[in-house]
Amino acid sequence: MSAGAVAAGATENAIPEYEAVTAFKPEPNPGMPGPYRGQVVSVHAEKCIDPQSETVDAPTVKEMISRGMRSLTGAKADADAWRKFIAPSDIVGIKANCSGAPGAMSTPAVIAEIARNLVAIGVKPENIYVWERSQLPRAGYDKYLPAGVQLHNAGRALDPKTYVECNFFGEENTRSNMVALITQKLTKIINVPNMKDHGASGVTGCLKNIAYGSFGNVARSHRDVKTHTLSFIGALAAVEPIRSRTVLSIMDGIRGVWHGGPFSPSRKFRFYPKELMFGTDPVAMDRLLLDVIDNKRKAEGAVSVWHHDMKYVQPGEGYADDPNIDRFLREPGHIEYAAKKYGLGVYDIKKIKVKRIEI
Amino acid sequence: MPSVLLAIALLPVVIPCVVGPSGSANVCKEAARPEESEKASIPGVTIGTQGAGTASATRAPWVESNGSKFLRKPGGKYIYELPKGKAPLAAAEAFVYQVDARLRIAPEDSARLDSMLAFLKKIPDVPGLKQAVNIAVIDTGSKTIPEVVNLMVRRNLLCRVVSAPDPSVDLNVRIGSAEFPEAAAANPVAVADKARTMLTDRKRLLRIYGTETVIARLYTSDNAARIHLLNYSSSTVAGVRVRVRGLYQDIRLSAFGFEGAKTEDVVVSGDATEFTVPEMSAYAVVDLKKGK
Repeated sequence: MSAGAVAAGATENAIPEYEAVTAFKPEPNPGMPGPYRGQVVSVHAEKCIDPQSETVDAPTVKEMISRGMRSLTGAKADADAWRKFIAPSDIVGIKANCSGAPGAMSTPAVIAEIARNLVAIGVKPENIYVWERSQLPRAGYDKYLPAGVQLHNAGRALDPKTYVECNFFGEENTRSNMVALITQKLTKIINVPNMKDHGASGVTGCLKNIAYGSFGNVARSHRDVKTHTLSFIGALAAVEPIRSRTVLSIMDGIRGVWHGGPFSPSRKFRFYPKELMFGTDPVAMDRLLLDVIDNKRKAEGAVSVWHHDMKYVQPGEGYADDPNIDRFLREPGHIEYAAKKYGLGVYDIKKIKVKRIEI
Repeated sequence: MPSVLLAIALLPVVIPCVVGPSGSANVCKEAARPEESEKASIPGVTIGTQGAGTASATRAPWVESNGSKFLRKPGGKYIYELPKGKAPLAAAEAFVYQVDARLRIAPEDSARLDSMLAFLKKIPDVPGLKQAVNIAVIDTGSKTIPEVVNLMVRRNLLCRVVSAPDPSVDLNVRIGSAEFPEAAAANPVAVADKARTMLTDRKRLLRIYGTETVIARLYTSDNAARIHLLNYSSSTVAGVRVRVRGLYQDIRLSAFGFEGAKTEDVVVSGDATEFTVPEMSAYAVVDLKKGK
C-alpha cells in the first residue's frame, strides 16, 4: 500500500451527504425497529448441524424456528406467531444472504421452514419471493422450498424513482437504486442474514443484509482502504418502503464466518454458533452479533473487528488466508450509527433484553 | 487487415451528409483526403481497477473516446482505422460531434455500418439547436488541456474549448489560475474533480446514471433539446437513466437496433426532466420538447 493511500484512509472521516428519494411514506408503526424494540430471542441447538459434514438437521431447525417465533411473540401456536407479522394477502420477500454461497449462506433449511410457515398461515406460494442481489443461483434453494415459491435474482431490476444519491469518491454514477421487487411487489419483508464477519463493515448482520442487499451500485462506497459503510448502511436501511415493510428478522447462526466475509474463501474461517436469533430490532440483533464475531476472532488469535490500525490492512487477496489481514479499515460502528442517526433500534447492550432458549 | 474505405461527411448542420458504404463510397471519399486527416482513436472501453494497488473489488471501465479531440479541433478531418465490431460506434461518434470522418473498417462490419449510417440519416433536423455546455476550458496551451478535456467528456461535464473566458457559461476553467494552478493540473483528474465540485452536480445540464460507459452530448434551443447517447461498451446497456435540466413534456427516443423503443419512468420535477432508456447498443438519440 502506498503512503498516500494510508493517509487518505486515515483522514477521510467526514460523513457524506445523502439524499434519499422515495415516494413511499412510512407506516404508522414501521417494521424496524418494530414491536419488539430492544428484544432478541436466541435459540441454540447443539444438534442443528454436524460441523464435520456440515449436514443440517432440518427437524431441529424446524423446532428452533417454532420455539423462537413463539417466544418472541408470546403466541402458543406457530400460526399465531407468524400472523403477528404476516397476513394471508401479503406478498412476502425473504431476503437471504448468499454472498458466501455455497460455503456460507442463509441456510436452505431455515429459508424453507420460513416459507412453509408462511404457506401454513395462508400466504400463496407464488406470493413468496426469496430474493438476493445476484448470487441466488449458487445457493440451491429451489431444492428445499415449497412448490410455487419464487426465486428472484434482482440483478439490474432496480427502481429508477427510489434511490439514495451520494458522491463518495467523485464517482460519476452517484445513485444507488432500490431493488424494484421491493417497491413494486412486496408488502412485507423477512430479513434472514447469516452470522458473518465483513471486511468493510466489521460484521454483516440484519442492517448490512437489508441495506446493501436491497440496492444496486453499492460497492462504490469502498475505495482503497476507505469504506463509507459507517453511514451508508443506516442511510439505506432507513429508506421507505424498506423500513416499514421489514417486519421480522431471523439471523441465521447455524453456520457462520469469522474472517474473510462477506465471502467464505476458506473453510478454516467457518464456525458453528448453532444459533438462530429472532427479533424486529435490527440494531439489537446486530449488537449481539458483534460480540459473537469478535469473541470468536479473539479466541482464534485474530485482531478485533474494531481495530483501526493500518498495519493489519493490505490490498489484494491476502485477507482470504490470513485472519490478521483486512482489506479495509472496518466500520463496525455502523450499527450504533444507525441507532443514533435513524432510530433503527437499541444499541446499548445493557438495554437489550435477550431471552435464550436451549434445545 | 483487409479493409474497406468508407467515409461519412458530416457538416455542422443538423442533418449531415451521411453516405452509405457501398455504391456511393466514391463520392464520400471526396470529403477528406487521407493526408489531411488526423487519426482518431479506436472508441471503446477497457476494464481496469480504480488504481494500482487498490484493495477494492470495484472495477471501473475506462472509456476511450475521441470527444476531447473533436472538441479541441471541431473543424478537423479524421480517419478511424477500426477493428471488427467498432464501425457503428465510430460512425455515431463522428456524427454526434459533427466532424468530417472517414472510417476504415473490417469487411464483416460493412452491413452493420450500413445500418448505422441509414439510422443516422433518418434523424430529423430540429431548427435552432445549439450545443449546450456550462463549462468552458480556456486553451492556454498547457500540455494538460487535452487530458483535462478528455476527463470532462468522459464524466459528462459538458464543456467547450475556448481561447478566452466565456461569460455565457457557469464555470471557466483556466489552467494557471488561482483555482486551477498549473502545478495541480499535472493531475488532470483533480482538475476535473474540482471543476465538478465548483459547478456542483445540481447545476450540471445533464447527468447519466446506471452506467459508466455512456457519454452524452446535449443540444438545446428555446423550446427543444436533443440528447445524443454514445455507448462505448461493446455490449448493450439497460436502464440508462438520464437527467436533463429543463422541463420537457414530449420525449421521443430513437435507439439504434431497438426500433420502436420508448423512454420509461419519466419524472418532471424541480428544474429537471428524468427518463430511462430501457436498452441501447452503440447509439441513441432523444428529442425533447417543452410544453406550451
